[in-house]
Amino acid sequence: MATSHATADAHEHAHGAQHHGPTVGTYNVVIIALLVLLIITLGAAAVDLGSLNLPIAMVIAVIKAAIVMTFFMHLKFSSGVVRTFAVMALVFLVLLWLFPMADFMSRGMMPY
Amino acid sequence: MAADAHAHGGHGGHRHSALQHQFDDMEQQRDSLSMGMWLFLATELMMFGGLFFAYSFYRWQSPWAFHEGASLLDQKLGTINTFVLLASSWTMAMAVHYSAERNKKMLALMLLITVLFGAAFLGIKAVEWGKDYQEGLVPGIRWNYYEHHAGPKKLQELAEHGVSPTNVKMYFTIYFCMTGLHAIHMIIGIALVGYFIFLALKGQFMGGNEQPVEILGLYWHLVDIIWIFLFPLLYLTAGFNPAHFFGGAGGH
Repeated sequence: MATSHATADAHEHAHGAQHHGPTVGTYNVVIIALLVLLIITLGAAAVDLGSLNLPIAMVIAVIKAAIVMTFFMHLKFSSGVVRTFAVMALVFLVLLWLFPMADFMSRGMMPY
Repeated sequence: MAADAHAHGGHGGHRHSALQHQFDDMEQQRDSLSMGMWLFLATELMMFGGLFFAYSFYRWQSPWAFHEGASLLDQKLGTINTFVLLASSWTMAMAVHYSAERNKKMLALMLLITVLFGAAFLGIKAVEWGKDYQEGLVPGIRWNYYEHHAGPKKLQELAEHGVSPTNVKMYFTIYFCMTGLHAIHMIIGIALVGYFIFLALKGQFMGGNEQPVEILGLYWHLVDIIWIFLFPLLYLTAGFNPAHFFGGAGGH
């Protein structure tokens, strides 16, 4: 009985570890990538690129967020239903931003 | 079968098997909990999304006010805080890793370092807000920067760019709403991680029931992601000056 417990435990452990995905090495690479991207953000902001500064900063921020979601938040190792919920959260966020902004633009309230 | 592998350890109190009775198996339980948390995170994004929309709207209408506002923040402290928060996400990810490894000591240690990083972030933020208060940059509480600290030349410069101090006041209103809501999330996160240290030291999460640590991690990482966007939007709008950063002075 004790042995069967031990094997079940070991099996579950191995299974669990596999499910939890990333290794320490992966996490180390991820944090270094995030810190490098932060330094790139600062470097890009140090140069005056006019109207390009904002899109560049946002693209880097999106890459950083995607890295955090993929590895730190385990989406790479999650099931389809969990990934769908994560993506839908972003879709709703885009809708929340896009339609009010389109409304204000159509009323001539935005200088463009 | 996996569920009762650790049930033998449960005596006294309310320690129960990791598989709750409403689920068929561990995989279904795992997906349900993750899905529920992501749904909550979606509502969090809706809440912050409103603020990001307000930011976009007012920045689009008066870009120079945001340029001016960002130049009045302490860029050095904001940058240090960004490094601190990224590091805290790494320690939180490590905590989740060690909970899966059933390493109680390392789990508690990583959670503790996460709390310390979180507290450091809030401490630095408090110093920043204190400086903003002293300079008269807090709308509704102490807003007299342009009366006491900026000369007529500054007002003329604003006028040349088509904005007034009122527009800058709008920037600071948004700045305090966004960093304030973010800080509230940090306070809640720190309290939860602190509670989880207590649970971890009691031996919780060591019997195949470590998923709550991962769920807590999802929350912590979301708060980090929001800051990843807040930092360039609020602090770098007027550019980044390395000379200010490495010389002792603040952003202005």
